[in-house]
Amino acid sequence: MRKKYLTPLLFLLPSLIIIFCFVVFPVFFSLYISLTDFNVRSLVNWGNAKLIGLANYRHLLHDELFLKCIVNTLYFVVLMVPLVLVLSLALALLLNLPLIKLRNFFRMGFFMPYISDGIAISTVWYWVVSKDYGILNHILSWFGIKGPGWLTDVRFAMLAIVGLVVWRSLGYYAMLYLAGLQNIPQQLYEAAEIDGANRWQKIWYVTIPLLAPTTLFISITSMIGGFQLFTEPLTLTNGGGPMDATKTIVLFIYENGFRYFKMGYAAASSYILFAFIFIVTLFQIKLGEQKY
Amino acid sequence: MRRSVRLFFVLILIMTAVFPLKAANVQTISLWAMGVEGQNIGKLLPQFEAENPGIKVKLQVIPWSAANDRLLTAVAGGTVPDLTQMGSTYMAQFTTAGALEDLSPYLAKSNSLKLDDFFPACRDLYIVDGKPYGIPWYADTRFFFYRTDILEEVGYKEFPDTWDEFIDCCRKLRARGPNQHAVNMAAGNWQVTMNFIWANGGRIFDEEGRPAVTEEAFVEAVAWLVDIFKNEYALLDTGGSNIRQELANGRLPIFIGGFWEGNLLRTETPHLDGKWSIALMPMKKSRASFMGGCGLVIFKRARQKEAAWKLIEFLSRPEIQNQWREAAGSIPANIEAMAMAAEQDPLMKIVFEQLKEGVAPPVVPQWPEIEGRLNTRIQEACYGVRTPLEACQLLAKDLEKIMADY
Amino acid sequence: MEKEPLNYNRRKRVPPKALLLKIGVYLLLIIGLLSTILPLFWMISTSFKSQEAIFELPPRLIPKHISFENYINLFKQEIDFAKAFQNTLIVTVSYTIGALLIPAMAAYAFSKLHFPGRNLLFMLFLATMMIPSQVTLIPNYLSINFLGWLNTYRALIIPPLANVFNIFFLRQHMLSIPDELCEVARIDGANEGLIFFRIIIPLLKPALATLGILNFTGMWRDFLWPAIIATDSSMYTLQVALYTLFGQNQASTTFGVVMAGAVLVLIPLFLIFLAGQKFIVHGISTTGIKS
Repeated sequence: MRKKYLTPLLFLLPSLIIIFCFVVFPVFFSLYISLTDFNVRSLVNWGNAKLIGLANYRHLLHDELFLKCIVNTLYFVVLMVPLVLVLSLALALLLNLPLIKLRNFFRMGFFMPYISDGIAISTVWYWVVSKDYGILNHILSWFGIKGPGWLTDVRFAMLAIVGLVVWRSLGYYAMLYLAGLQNIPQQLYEAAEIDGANRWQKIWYVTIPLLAPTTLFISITSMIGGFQLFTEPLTLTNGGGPMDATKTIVLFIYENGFRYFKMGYAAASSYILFAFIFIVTLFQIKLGEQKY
Repeated sequence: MRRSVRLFFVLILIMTAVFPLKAANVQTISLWAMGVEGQNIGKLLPQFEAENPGIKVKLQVIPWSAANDRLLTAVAGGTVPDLTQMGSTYMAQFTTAGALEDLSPYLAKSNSLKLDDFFPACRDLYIVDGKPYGIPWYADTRFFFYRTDILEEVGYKEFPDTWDEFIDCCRKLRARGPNQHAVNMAAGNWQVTMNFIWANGGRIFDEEGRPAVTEEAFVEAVAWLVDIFKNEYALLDTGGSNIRQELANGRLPIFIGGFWEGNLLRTETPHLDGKWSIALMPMKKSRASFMGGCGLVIFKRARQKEAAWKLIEFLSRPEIQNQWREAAGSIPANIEAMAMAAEQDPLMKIVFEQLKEGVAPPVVPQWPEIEGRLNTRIQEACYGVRTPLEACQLLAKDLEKIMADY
Repeated sequence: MEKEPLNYNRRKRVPPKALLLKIGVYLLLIIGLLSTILPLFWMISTSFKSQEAIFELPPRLIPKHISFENYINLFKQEIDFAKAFQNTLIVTVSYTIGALLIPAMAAYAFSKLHFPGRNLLFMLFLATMMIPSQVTLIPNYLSINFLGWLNTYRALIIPPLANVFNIFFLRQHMLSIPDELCEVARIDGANEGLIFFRIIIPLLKPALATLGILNFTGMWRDFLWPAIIATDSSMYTLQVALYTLFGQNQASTTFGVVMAGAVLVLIPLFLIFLAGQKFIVHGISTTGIKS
């Protein structure tokens, strides 16, 4: 009996310890912190933090800036996810055409930005969309378009970030779609052809429904990633400018936690982010179950 | 394998036995300095070490952009240096956290350093709740930098002296051409925008500490700023270039900046020498300008407090302060050093005048958060997203909420 | 691609409509690819521009003169880039080893060992994947601080090791290894450790390689955690160093240094990418399907 548990325990022990210490315990600890007024007064002496019940959550719901961060984040997700889905599917369909040679070359080329994401690519993007000195506006000028100050104009700042994220993740998601496409049995297309379906009908009635699991996966991952948007606005718009138009929930958490040291408040906002991600995931899983 | 391990330990034993004997009476103090200061302070340290053979200084340079986060985490983690440079606007946050040493006992004992040696407005920046937590190191305020040749072309031999003249000058500069503007200032930088609000008699809090940003003087000044952007005297978006270049190419021949910009202008754009100067803020109700700078503070958890204090005494000496001005291009905080500087540098007279009008932002621990809201709201007005009054009313609401939090 | 018209001449059977389609598709792909590569090209090009050339109007896609000053200046900054490179390498390599070994052990227990409550425990593990890292950010910072681990390698390496996805991924692969292999070894008297290291690990090499690459590149790019933990400039990782550098040079003629820094950060990623293409493709196609 002892041996029955001992060996598995030994194999699991490192994972158990790390996951307990850095995931399970913190989740509850975070909940506790979110119920306190842990702020700069508690910086040296943690004992100064008092339990204040749900006050942080109540304040958050009336905090105009936080609500704006939620709206911004949702705006970003709503723009980015469909764009990513449509464009990556289109790219995958193009790459999957039988007439394409050099498929691997193209696939890898489109994948390049994904491998390079992070601060580095945000700084690059900052320079690409710079108003007077950036290459994007320069190219637009060839077509007689006077490009805006992408990062300093309230209307365009979030679009510039959407652009970065879509550009960066397109190749990755297209690869996922390609993998999905290659799993669709050829007979189905042949059957559709016999029924007289044309090229578009085949895509619409065969390909897209059969890619549904991949679509679901991509929309979940890109949505969760979207809710966690942080590095890009931190770098591109100096932490959410202009006028908080690109301030996201995670930036809000970061600022409150590590700049103003309002840890209690920041922990509470991280729980609200958690709730959002949780609901979205559940909703999408339910949707997936129903349909397929 | 085991032998080499044993050998290693023996070696360590020998080393610990030999070296501490020699090092026992050498104290090492750790010093953090930021940005330009960090790059230049090394020039002064050898002299200090020569005067104090028992003390070594270990310098760490921290980029300004990382300074506040770095200091906060150091305090939280108890890994503080003995001595650091601290921006005046952060003093309240760190004293509230209980991280800084009250320097009154050191001042009482010191025979070379008195608080009265410093410029009063500058000294007061580091006094929180009546106690000195920092010793002023250098002062910082904002001026106009401008192209003397271009302003002369439009008829201003001297820099405009009043707000009305300033606007007139801007109009003339703007009239030079479609891509020509007047003044380079960021709508989202309170260290620029607040100057005009203060000059108009506006203030952030009233005597009772309530938000006063909806007072007429405040709103009026914001509206005035909005017009500057609306008339394209200033640009909301300069397209990613820097202010010194725009000064050089003449598109924006005026900018608002700190004294250190002078040093940068001399090194970055030497061909402009003789074509630029600095000027006082133009007069409205006053010539107010942001008063800030850095002080030197000792942390409560520091290990070498006495030695750190010695370095503070050294850096506060008038002649060292004057050397420091030359090295880092900063304004000395010491009155005597200012007098020396005024003799050597003609621009210093203007600096002296401007410093007298310096206004310090409120000393409250919530300041880092307040400045964020201030920047956003004034920006909103300048971009025309809201009317000046709306922006100020929302700002008042923001401030009330921030102050209520703790 | 330039051969197309030639082909057409030779083989008259190709209907013009199909040819048009072909040209159209290639055109689309090439335009897409160019715009995908352009920002990266722009980065490299800027990094070789001199300070004066950076703010030249109109911007020049290819620098008139190649200048190495940005790369030289990169190593003269307040932030020690060489040290940051070294830190990142140490952290990333140690993390990757841990992120393969520890989850592999857990995956072994979950797939090849039998014990009561196995599935329940596995479900609990999976449930933790729902928790976004932002929720654990603050308490983890406080714990690390409490342990006195701020600005240490262990603080950069250990917390990110809590990686359930890796366990899940490796378990899936281990399930496809027949149990009989293990049974035979057990009858021969091999203990579980031996089976794990001698039989399972060698069979898992492709999966481990895939996961290794994904984790290596992921860690190399990680920013938020190191930004909070490594506040001492001697402990900066490349991403933190680059962010700081960006903050300092954002609006100045020295922006080329930032681009040089970005190139330096990205080169190792591209090298790994080129070397491990096969595994990346494998990894992506399997993760996509498994979910």
